[in-house]
Amino acid sequence: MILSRNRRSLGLLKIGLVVASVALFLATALVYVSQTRQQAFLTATIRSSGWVAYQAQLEFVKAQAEFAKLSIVPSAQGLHALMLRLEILRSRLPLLYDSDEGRVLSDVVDTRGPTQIFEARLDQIIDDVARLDPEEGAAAEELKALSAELEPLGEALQTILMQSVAYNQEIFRRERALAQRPGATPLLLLFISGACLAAVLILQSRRDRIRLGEIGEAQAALAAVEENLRAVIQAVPACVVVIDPDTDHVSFFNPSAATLVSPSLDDPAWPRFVKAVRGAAGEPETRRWGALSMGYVRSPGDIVSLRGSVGSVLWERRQQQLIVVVDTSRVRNAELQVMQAAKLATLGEMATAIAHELNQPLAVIKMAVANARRLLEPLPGGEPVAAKLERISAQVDRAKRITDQVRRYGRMPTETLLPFSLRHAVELAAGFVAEQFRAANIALSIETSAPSELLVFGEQTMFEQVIVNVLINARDAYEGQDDGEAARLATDRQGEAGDRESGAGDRESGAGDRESGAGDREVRVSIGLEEGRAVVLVQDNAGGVPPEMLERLFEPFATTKSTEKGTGLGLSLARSVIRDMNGTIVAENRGGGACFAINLPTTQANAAQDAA
Amino acid sequence: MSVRLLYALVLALMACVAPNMAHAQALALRWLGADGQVIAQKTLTLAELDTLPQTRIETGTPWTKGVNTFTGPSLGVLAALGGRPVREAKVMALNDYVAPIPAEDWKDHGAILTTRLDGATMRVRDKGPFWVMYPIDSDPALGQQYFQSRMVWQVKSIDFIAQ
Amino acid sequence: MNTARTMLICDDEEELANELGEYFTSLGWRVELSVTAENAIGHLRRGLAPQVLITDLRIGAVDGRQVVAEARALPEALRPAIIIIITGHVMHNVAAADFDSDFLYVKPVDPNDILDDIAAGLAKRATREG
Repeated sequence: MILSRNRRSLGLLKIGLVVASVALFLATALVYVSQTRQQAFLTATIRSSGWVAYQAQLEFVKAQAEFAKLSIVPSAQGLHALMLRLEILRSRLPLLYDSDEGRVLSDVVDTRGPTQIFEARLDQIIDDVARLDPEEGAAAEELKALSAELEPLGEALQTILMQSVAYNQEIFRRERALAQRPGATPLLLLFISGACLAAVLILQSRRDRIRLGEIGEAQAALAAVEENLRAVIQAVPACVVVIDPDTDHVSFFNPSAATLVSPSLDDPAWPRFVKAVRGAAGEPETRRWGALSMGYVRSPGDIVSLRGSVGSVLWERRQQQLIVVVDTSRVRNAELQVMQAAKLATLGEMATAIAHELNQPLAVIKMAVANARRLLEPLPGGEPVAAKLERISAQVDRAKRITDQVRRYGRMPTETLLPFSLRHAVELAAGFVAEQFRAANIALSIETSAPSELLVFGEQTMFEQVIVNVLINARDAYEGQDDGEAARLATDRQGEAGDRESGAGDRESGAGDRESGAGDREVRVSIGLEEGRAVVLVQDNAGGVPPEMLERLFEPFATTKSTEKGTGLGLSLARSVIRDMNGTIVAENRGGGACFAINLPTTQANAAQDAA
Repeated sequence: MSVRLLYALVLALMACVAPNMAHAQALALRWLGADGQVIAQKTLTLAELDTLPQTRIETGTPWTKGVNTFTGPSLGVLAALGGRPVREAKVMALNDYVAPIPAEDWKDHGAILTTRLDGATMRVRDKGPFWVMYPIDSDPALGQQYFQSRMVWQVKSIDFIAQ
Repeated sequence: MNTARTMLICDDEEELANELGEYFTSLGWRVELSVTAENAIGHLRRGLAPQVLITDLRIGAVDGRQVVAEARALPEALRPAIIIIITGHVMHNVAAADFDSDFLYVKPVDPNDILDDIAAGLAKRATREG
């Protein structure tokens, strides 16, 4: 706008300057011409000034002639004619100074003074002539005398004429000289002034063009800045909304805001949003960021927490209100989760610490029991006491197992997920329980349809622990089928060792005492790849899990198993570990038993994504 | 003796009259056809001129001081005495100076033949007895040489050229 | 030559040390108990020359490995034949050798196991030396 106004005024200015300079040219030319004309006029006047003197002289000569004629033969008629001549002569004299020509003439030579003297004399002569009597003899003599009196006038007139002529000559000479030099100076001045004007015009125009260019650039830069700002506002992850303070209508909203409220301006969600913000803002101006904190109900059941501010802004050239808010729900949730995790971590640490601390008294108890048994040995009738001691020792083992599990359960989740070979880990885990499975007559098989280099991400030992827990659980299920508990007591130590390594997996078999048919026992572990995710299945035929147990299977201490067996933490730990690996573990009854399915991501990206 | 007295008387009379005659000139008017033939002619005395409708001009001139009053019949009035339309007047002065004056000058510019300056007749030496005058002050253009040459003084005769 | 059937037990858990010591004493061993690392090191330096050294990894604020190191630094004649570490910390993927010891146990431990391992260890040494 400013630019076009400037351009127009500059254009007008330029036109004005051009017109002015042309007018200057013309005016100067006209002045020159008129001066020349005036000069010419003056010259003419100068010329005709000589003419006046000449005419006077002519009359003088005519008067003298009449005098001469009359003095020969005076007559009344002749006198009359003489009088006329003298009158005419007399009338010529004032013209020598009292006319245009005369005034010019008086500049050359003083005509007034001498001429007026002669006028007086001539008046006298005319009177004398009038009084003359032609009959009188002396008349001729008188006439002669009067003529002689008049003679000096002739000389004077001659002088004036000569001087006038001389002046004219001088003028003519100058004229001639000038004619050869046709007013170079004024023309030169004209040219120079014209050139200067043109130069000034050009320079000015150039300067103005540059200035205009600068203004254009500045305006373009401004537009670019505005464009940039707009782009920034569009891109910023905060919600930016501009509302007209008079109508509470939304003038502008950026994509983030569209996502938060609605992409359509007519959506009734907008007035609702504006009202909510206004309600939360309170003070008309809460400029400080974060001063506005509110929960916004996007739809029933969907509440987001917002943080931001309300301020004034110059938008589209008028004052409007600016709302900038950020969805802090996720941040909030993350905060809560962190707090939760911290709490858990603390709990975990405490659990670990407790577990660790418990080991000491447990160790002492164990030692003391061993010693007590020793002391008891030689004494008769000590069997009941020995049995009690045995029980004590077994409980210590159980307590140890619990603390072990608790410790493992309470450890911090690893943040870095390291890749390891899934198959290798499964094979290792199988190796741990191989001995026990053989002892329990369970056929353990591993089949894999996935490449051996299939990697999953996590902590390998913990994952092995998971597989071990699941396998132990299967074994325990078979054992639960048998009623041979007592025999298992003897294997407690072995089991203890196994537990120490593996940690007991728990499961309530509950399915009752099923005739196992020892040769049928089979646990199949299969490793596969499904839709880019690794799947490990542990299938047994131990009768399955009771439905009510199935729900709570992975909860801590969820077992009704005998206390000698396990701690109830094994599957819970397994779920915790698998979760840390960003996978899932589920159990279902099928194939005549239970099937545990572990689903894991195979790429780091997936692993990380799922963690988010 | 009485003859001499008579002569003297006549001379005296003439002497008295002569200057008067030198002053009180008559104006000779002629009307010429396009070919130059004289169609009409008249001679008017001052008294006769005074009977004509008079025009009055108050103006300054290059030859007089201040503003003067020029009275006399308009040239058009004089021209009309011929009874026919006139296109030009040739004005002759006592010193045989001649100036042609076109009819526009008395129709449009108001040229008159002055018989009295400031109410008084003019001696020959004062550019009388008759002086063609224009109202110079009312039209500055009339001050130019172009018109000045037509302001003939010591007019002795006017020839009107008929159309 | 280290004294046969002489044992040095180092643990800041006095109760535990007592019980463990009582166990071996009842089997005819001479047992010295130390509740501090300095005490144990002092015994070693003063030429106790136990056949077996049992120490915790953390004796108060002192690292048990210092005691182990001290024992290993003794001249051949005074050096223990068996060095055992028992610890309350649960270890993953560590072996006794990581601590420059012959055996590593995590509490609670059955002293019978320790006894068996000592016997086995001594037998192995005997066959090696013999």
